[in-house]
Amino acid sequence: MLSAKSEQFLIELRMYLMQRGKSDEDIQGIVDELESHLIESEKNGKSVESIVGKDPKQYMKSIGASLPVATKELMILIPATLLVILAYLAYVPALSEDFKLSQTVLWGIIPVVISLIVYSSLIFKMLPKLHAKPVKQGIIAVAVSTGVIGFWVAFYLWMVPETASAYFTATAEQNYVILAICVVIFIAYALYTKSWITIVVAALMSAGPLAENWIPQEVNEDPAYIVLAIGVFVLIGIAIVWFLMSKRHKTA
Amino acid sequence: MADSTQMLKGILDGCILSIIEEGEIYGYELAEKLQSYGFQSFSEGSIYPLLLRMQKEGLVSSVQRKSTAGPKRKYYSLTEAGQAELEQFLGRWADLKQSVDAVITKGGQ
Repeated sequence: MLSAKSEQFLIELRMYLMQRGKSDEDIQGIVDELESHLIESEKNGKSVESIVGKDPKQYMKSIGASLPVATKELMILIPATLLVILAYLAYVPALSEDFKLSQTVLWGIIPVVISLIVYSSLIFKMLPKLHAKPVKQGIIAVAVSTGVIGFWVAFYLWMVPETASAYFTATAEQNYVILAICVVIFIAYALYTKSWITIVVAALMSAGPLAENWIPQEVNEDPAYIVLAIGVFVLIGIAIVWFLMSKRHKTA
Repeated sequence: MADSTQMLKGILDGCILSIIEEGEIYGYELAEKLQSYGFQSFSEGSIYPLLLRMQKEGLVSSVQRKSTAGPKRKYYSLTEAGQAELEQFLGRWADLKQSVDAVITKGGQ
């Protein structure tokens, strides 16, 4: 089993190479090779510094310079990501059978892009550096998420009073078609990136509109139930953090 | 052997090709061999960017095999282009060694 320091180095290396547009295959290859090397070295009492040198950043740069940029993959990934962002914007209104193109929708691109930038820097820049400090990592993740969600709520409250006329209002059938297209985009993106995160996010986004449809209006607006729902989600969050920490403790 | 990082640049490529010529080898084994030949001061990991470059240039080829000690290991072997490059390196090294020896011997007299 690898030491926390070596594990952290490999995570940082993977993130560094991902940010520089290297292909998954190349990244996996070099990470596997270094992991194998580090495991054997640590068995023989060597430190990670003896393998990667005194300046791990410089070492990462030299690895990055030796790997080609996966231009073809980026040419697909960038437009595909933009398509997914548009699908996210269309998904919830279509699910609520309320899809329309208006100023609210067009302005909605701004918080989506800002949130993506914030979450990308959280996942790729901040969290890998705090790999050995799970508590600090958790606090930062919660703080950033609270900030982003707060920003979304503030944006929503600011936009709702706007009574901009809709440029296009979908019929019930058109809403189903938009919804189906969004689902296909999420699945295709998940298969292409080999990550379930797109589908998980879409599932989380579905929770609100579906609950609004299924739960009676008086329950939806009852502050007691709202507090109860927040409490349940906080407990679920704590349970997930506890599960991940105990899993990490066992593997260490 | 006391080696210096600057002097190692360029020479390490030839040494790696020479070791790989002996037979299929994986990264850790290669680093150990280099150290056993006296290359003590270089970072073991520095062989990987070199191996990546050599593979890109078609000097070495690799194949992944299962390992009992963790993830799969990548075993390297010399290609025909690698063999030719090694022979060129040996020629260049012989010339360089002769010139450096001549300068040093003259300086010592």
